[in-house]
Amino acid sequence: MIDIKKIKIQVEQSNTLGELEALRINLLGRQGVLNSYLKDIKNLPLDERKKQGEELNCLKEELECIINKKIESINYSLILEKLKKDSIDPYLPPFPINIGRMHILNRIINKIIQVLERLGYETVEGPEVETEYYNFEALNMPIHHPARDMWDTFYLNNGRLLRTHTSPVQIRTMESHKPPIKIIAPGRCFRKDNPDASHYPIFHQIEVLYIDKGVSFAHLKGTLEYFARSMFGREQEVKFILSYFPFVEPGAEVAVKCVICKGRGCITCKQTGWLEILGAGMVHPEVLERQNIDSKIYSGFAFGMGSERIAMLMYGINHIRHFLDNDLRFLNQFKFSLED
Amino acid sequence: MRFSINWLKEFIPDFNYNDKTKETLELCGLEIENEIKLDLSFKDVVIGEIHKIAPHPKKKNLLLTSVKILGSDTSLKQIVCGAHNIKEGDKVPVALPGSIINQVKLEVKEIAGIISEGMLLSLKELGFPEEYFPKSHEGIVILKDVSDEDKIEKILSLPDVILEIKIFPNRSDLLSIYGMARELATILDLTLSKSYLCFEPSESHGPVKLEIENFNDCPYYSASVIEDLKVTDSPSIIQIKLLKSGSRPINNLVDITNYVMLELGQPLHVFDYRSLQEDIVRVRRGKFSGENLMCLDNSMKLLDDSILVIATANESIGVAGIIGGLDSGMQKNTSKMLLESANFSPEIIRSGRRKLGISTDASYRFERDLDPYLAELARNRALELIQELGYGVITGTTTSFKKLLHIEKIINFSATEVNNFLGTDLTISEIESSLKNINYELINDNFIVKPPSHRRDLEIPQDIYEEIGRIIGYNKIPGILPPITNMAFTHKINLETNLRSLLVNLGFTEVINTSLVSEDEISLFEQPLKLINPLSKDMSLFRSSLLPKILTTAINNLKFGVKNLTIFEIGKIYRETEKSSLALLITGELFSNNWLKTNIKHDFYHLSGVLNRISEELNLNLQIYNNVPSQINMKSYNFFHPFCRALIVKDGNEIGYFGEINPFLIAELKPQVGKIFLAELFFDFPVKPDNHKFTSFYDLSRFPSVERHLSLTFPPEVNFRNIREKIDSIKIKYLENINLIDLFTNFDDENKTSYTFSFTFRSKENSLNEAQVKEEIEKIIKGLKTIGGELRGNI
Repeated sequence: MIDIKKIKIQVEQSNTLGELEALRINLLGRQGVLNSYLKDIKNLPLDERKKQGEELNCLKEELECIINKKIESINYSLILEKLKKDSIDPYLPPFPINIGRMHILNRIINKIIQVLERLGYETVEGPEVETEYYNFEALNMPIHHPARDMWDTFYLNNGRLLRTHTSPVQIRTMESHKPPIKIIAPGRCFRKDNPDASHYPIFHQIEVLYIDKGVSFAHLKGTLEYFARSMFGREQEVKFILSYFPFVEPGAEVAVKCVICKGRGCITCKQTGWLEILGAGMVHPEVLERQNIDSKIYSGFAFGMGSERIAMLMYGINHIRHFLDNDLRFLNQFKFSLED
Repeated sequence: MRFSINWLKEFIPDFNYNDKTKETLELCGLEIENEIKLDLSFKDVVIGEIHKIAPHPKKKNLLLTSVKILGSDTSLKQIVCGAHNIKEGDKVPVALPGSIINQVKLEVKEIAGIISEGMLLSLKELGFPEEYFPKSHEGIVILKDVSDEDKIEKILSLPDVILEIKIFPNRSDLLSIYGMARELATILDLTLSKSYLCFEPSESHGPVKLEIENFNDCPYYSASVIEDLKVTDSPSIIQIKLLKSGSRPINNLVDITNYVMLELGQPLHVFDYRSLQEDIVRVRRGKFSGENLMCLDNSMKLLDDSILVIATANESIGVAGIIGGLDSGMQKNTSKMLLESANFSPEIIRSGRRKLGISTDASYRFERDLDPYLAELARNRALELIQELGYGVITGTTTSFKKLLHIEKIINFSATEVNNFLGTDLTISEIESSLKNINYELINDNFIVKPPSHRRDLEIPQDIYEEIGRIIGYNKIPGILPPITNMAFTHKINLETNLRSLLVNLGFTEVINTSLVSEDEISLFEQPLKLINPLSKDMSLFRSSLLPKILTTAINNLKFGVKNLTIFEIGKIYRETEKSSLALLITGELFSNNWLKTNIKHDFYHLSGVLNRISEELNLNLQIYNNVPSQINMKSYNFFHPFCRALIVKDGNEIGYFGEINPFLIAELKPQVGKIFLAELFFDFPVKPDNHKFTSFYDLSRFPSVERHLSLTFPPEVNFRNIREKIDSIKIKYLENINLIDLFTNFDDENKTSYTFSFTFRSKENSLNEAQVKEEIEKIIKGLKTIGGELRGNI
């Protein structure tokens, strides 16, 4: 009879597909051992024949199974051997994938817009090359008004000027829209300032204007509190410091608790614990009346801030020149997941 | 303006300057820009009288003085001195051995072989820092009108603190010590120990004939004649007050005018009476044809009819409210003078100041609209001082002014209006207590406020609300978020915003450059706007293109060792009108150098790919043309490589250009800088995007696609645009996509070009069979043959 144990060992010891094939032919082939036993069965009595036939079939199946398993295992090793050629070193430097980035200044502007859009403000724009009328006169600064000196202005050879603030957009909006008006106007402004760490003749502002029935100073304060908290953290407080801008009355500078030292006093806040971040006030009735808005029915507030200043405070940027220098080492510091 | 706290305390003795009062002042709009502490840094300094001055025997630039110390024995002290502003008889501060100067004890010293028994002192040594008092450091302090008992610290009024306070342009009433004291008394609830009250002026007739051309230019003028003048130096106490306020003492009479200006805020002027012809003073506009005046600052000015002048019978002697004439100025030997105290209109002063380019303490105040009643008060104060100090004899005063010099304003409002405006719940008595320094009447709950003549800023109810708010404290008003109305949830994103985020998605980094450029930089581009008053030559024009600066940005970064750049900028430019512009710049390779050696070189086609992507994603329908530009300036087009550039066209209009930078432009930068590719597109302002077309879904075909490749050769005169247009003109069924997948130029002797296309076909109804595809391919081949195509292969 066949020694199954011995065959199993033979199969185990075969290392190539050729050896296994030879073994298979020897055992299971037409001329193989198993067939020779089957031929012999014919001569046995019926009972015996049936019994032995069944046994031999079982044996045949078992042998086929053993051999196939081994073939599979060898095939697997062969494929593995091939795949090994693809092996990598995960520690090698990864491929330098690119990423695009928006300028940090525009990201800050977008953040401010987002915060205010939640309150229903709509973004509008105005021209950088402005007229005296929009930049000064309509903002309650007639030709010889001394407040015009608060903004050193660049004048152009076409009789116009470069806007010194985004406030002209207030007027342009009042001209084209009836109240209620609720706008944000971001944009570039120009002042003939000598450059230093926090001033540059070209800078960006964001203007906010809200005109409706019954708008009060408390509404201005509430809006600024919401704004400061959205920008600088839940705990933020705002402080009003009386100031003067001819197009608002009353006018104020608004300060927030220093974002660097949290109000304890540091170099950035000059030890005061507070940082002035924007100018604000109630729209001057004269400004409204000039645009045919009845100041007895409507009132409003406006505020404006320098985008560079906000960005500098949020990220501790020490010099305004970085914004227009476009050194990629600067621009690439502000990663995708920046909390903005 | 500078305010000496000691001087302020003459009016508000209870003023205590500390952190708390400082904060209150700041919240009320008095921003303290600087604080100069003048400490008492010396001890036992005495006053000496210079008895004799002799040259130092050994050192030429030194003097040897013998000094008698006041109130002590008669023995003379021998003191060596380096300053030369002293003369015999002068009284000076002296530090004797044992006294302390700047925390250092003084000892007897030998200076160049001579014993010096002390030191004559300058202001610097007495603790006045030179950087704040530059005008006052010209040698030894010469004391005037001091007695034996006077103490030097008393004369110098030390210790003291000088506050530099920012004054808003609408608060002319704060431009004086008295005005500031009055304000501090209100804010800090202090008592004014001395007050000056303004009254309606009265006309008077003196020796001078006064002719005022227009009372609108000059609502008030007063001319006093003073004779028997003694021109000398002012008493030290006055000189020190002037110095502390940043004013330079000149002589007793000029100093009086400055003293009164600092004290009360009204500029005064004195003329040497000899310059007056026929006793006439005329306040008139400059001559239409112009007239010349040599001014006190030694500059010759042309005065025209936009400038108000003070003139005598035949000629001008000063510019009203701005500066006097040199010839009419006070001399050492002046014995008779004219004292002017006047009110000029802010408009005329401002226009003259701007035209002449001279800004003075006087013009600064007049421009800010002074209390018209102040001029008479100040004149009386000056005359009183002159008389008191015995500087001269007052002969008479001529005064002339506009009727209704000050029209009293009446401001009405109710308590409800206050509360509605501020968003508060103030009671009437709370409002009343915040108005106690302003005249008001209360009828029921209606307030009627009559602001004093010096509060030029109080005109409308809102001005009073501000006053109430600041006295109550803005920080005590509650914050209320307004109801969210006007919910503009349409969320309009304009083209600029879309472009910016699309380019960021395409891997571009945004840069932001200045709008102001130099002549050289922008010379290739359309005529930019010129600044009339630029800060510097580098920033003298408003850009007409973004390209020069984005190129500079690239070069700066390349010089810093960056090799690859994929950057863009969006900004405003000016070309006939203000427009938005987009600039793209690529150079180097797409990826940074890597060991995998995988990369893509940036080139023209990469850039046109970006433009194509922009066009498709934003539905802009941009086209690229290789024509000679017709609308765009050819000079600008020469910014690019003559054989590697193209126009960007939209709806038949050239709206931009792109290509490789003209190698001549960056020739000097070679080899640091490789090929740079740039594009610029202009959008009309305001941006009107065409990209609001509704995008609708279409169903997807469930059947497989069939791809066929087709190679054809074309003669050199046929360009790809001809081929593409031909293909587009053929009606091809099932066509899903066309790709150019291979290209050979100079393919054979005839310089033909071979193009290999991949066509993808797909049907929505069924799987395409060979016959259907073949029919379409045949159509394409037939079509392309009509423009010179020859089939090479058909797979």
